[in-house]
Amino acid sequence: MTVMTIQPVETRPATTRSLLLEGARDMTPMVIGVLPFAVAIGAAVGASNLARTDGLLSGPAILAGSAQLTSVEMLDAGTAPLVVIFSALMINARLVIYSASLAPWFAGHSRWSRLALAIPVVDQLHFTCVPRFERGDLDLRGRTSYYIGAAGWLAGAFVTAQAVTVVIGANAPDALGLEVAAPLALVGLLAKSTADRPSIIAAAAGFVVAVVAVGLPMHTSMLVATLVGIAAGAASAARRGRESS
Amino acid sequence: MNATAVILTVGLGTYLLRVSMFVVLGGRTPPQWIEAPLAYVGPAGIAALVGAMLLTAHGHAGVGSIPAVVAAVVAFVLVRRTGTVMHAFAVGMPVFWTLTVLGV
Repeated sequence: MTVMTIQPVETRPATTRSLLLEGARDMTPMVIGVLPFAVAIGAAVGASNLARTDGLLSGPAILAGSAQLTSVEMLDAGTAPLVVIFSALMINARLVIYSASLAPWFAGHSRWSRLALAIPVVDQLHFTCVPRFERGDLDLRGRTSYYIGAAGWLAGAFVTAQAVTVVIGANAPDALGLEVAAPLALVGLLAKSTADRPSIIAAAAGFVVAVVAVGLPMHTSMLVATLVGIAAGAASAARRGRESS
Repeated sequence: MNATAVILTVGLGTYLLRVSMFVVLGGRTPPQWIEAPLAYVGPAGIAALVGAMLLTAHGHAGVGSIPAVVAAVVAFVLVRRTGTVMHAFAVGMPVFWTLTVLGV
């Protein structure tokens, strides 16, 4: 009689390659959401009086669409350089929050690796990577592969779509309504990321403040809305913790 | 200061914002008072973006597009049930197109 060994189901170890692809695959809804925005930015750059080289440089140099679009529009309007820089950096101030949320997952890396991993930090990267990391089955190397796959696909698609639009000077037809893709992708993620009560409260607070506080000076509404949402979620969790203890 | 210098400065400043906590926290695990609230960065940040995209325009609050808002609500409910983010496009875009064609 032969001895049968029982093969556990799905023991295939995650390789660097498979995790790169998994990161890219999980980022795909965000990429679909970002592409129409990238095309719109490319069209705005192409229509501006900026030198083409400056327009092409702005995408990879800034790697954040809202701040880039604001910079291009302000430069086109002849705004003072320091005002352009200040406005763009205020829009991007929220990235400090994502820096804080992503950094701990890469704490085991050397300083130079950490400096490199910070280059693509952006909202969508947190939204995609952190829920995956929280499942807890990836080691540092696995997390890094997943992150690079996700970041490379997002940044590569964003920069390429822009550059192509600038060069061929086209824009997507308005009739397709492709600008809806970005909120749809985010709404899909929101539906998945609001499982417990504190998360729902955090989302509700962030949503309401972003709408109500839209007129805040110096482009601070997104930063304020995100911080208020985080505080509301944390307060709710703390209250629950006290009630259950 | 020419446009190239402005763009590069914005890029450099943005990188410093991105790298800030990678440097401040160094190789350490953040203290509990920082780590606990980070659990709500995702929901708060995503919802703030969605609110700004759907219910503000040109720096003012207001419904930019009713079809877009309806499509987003339908997409939210569907993904809540199925757990697949791609379903947001599969149903949201047709809802948006249909309402737009109907002149809503």
